[in-house]
Amino acid sequence: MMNKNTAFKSLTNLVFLCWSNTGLCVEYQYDRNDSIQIHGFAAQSFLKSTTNDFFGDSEDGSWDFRELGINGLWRPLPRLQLSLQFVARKAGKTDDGKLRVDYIFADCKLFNSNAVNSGLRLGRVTNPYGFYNETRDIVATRPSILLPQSVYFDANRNFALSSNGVQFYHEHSGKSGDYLFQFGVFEPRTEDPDFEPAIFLQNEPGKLEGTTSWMGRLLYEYDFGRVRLGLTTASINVDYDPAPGDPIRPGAFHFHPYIASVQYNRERWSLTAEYARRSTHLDRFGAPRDIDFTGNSYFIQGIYRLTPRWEVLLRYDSLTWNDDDPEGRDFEAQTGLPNHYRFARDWTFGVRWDLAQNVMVRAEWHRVSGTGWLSLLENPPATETSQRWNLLAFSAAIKF
Amino acid sequence: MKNRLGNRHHNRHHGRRRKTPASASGGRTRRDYGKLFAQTAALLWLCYSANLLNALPAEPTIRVIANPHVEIDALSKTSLRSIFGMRNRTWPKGDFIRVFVLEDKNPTHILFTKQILRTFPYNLRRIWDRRIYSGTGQSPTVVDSEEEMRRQVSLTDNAIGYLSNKWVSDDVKVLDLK
Repeated sequence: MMNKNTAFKSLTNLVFLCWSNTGLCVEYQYDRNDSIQIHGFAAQSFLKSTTNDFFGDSEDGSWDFRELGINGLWRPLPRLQLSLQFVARKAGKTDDGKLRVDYIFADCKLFNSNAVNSGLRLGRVTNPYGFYNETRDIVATRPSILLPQSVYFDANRNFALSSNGVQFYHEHSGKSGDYLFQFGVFEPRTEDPDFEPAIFLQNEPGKLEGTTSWMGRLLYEYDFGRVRLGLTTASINVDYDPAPGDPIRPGAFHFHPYIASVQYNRERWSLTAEYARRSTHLDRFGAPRDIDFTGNSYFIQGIYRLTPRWEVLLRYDSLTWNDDDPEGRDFEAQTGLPNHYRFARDWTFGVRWDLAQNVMVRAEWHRVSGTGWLSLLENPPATETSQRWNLLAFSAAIKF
Repeated sequence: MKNRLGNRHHNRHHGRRRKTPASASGGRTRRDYGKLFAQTAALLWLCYSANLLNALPAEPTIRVIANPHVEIDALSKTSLRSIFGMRNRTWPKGDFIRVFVLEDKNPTHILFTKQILRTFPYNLRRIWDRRIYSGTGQSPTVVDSEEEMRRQVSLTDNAIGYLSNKWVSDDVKVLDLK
């Protein structure tokens, strides 16, 4: 469809785009032949908490939550798509704001017709996890400034967002509705600064390295997304590679989540609920590090659109790390850390105002009991955190 | 349409009120409402019998249009949703579909999403955003007027779009909906 010369031109233009500020004009020109598209997003948030820090020094008011991204999709051949997203995300001590690649993959279509669309994605691919994970950085596709943290821990956002491997997808649409199945085999990313503390409760000298893992999701949509149902399951495996003289043995971390997702959409309102069961297993480290526990997370969320430009949100979000120790009493006795690190219940009230098609501002208020999704890195020492805290957040975002 | 009639009545009512100070001080009585209702009914009947209703700006009919060279003449609702949801990207013979839409707040776009696709603009936008920002798909090309829509669809190979009836011309092919 496209000869080599124009394909090369498109590529040089894509590179040029990343270095220039005239992106929109060039995109417009190439949009015409649909073989290349560039999109981007930017958001700046402000957070203020009564106690405990979230994304920066929020007790004093934090501007340390910024998201900036640009992505390109190039279709050199009708059956081949190349996708790339650069992002710079600053999120207190949990993300450093440096430029990195969120995803880069080749999508080879095996079949595309009215009813069926299937293929293989190779490279760093977004993880099909629940309803919101794949577009978790774009304020417009999130229901709120902060995603329900019990299911979408932001402290380990890179680990959750994408992984390096291969993913098969199959979309089927018929009279009964649309089905989307995705299954990926990959190695998880372990570069999040808070990833080690999340596993060992502190930083250790060795390194965590992703090993063979898999994730699958089945989505069903009735009447063009009026009803959406989803099931996700995964087996995530990470090895610990000790440093010389490290007291910790070369063990492994295993994580097995199951998520059930439900959504109902009307013109004025949407209801969403997700329930997750998460099993965590630390293995081969020897006592007392070897542990095995199962917890649950869920949220129920309602959105009401007052006008096409204004919407309000109400959500209850609950996290329990260990079903056998829901209040964290045993945890406190064993680790000396506060019991409220093992749960979090969060009431959120939010407002969204779309000033224009691609510009929005948001405000939300969280009333939280528990510190289960709080970053340990941002709150040293953990013993000084409070169980009950409130968080107020504002965000301004654009996309194109 | 209803607003128009309603407004007209409102004005008439005010005009009458000015002439009769009694009703201005006491507000509308039940008899006033009765009269208003009778007048409305009479006017509606008049309009209808004179076939004037058609001349009022009723909801326009939305047509799905394509480039005249597009190989097909009709589409089912399922395939239309597949195409505008950016899932099916090719015409039956394998040519890449170029999808054109108007801005989210455009009245014709709102009617198209509601009447034809049987969904809402916010849902369509969400479907596109999910594809764009996960790197798995593209978004349609947005044009800013129906005139531009007609021009682009008539000039672009393999293009599909939509127009309100009055903008349709011979430059584009109207697709039947199965």
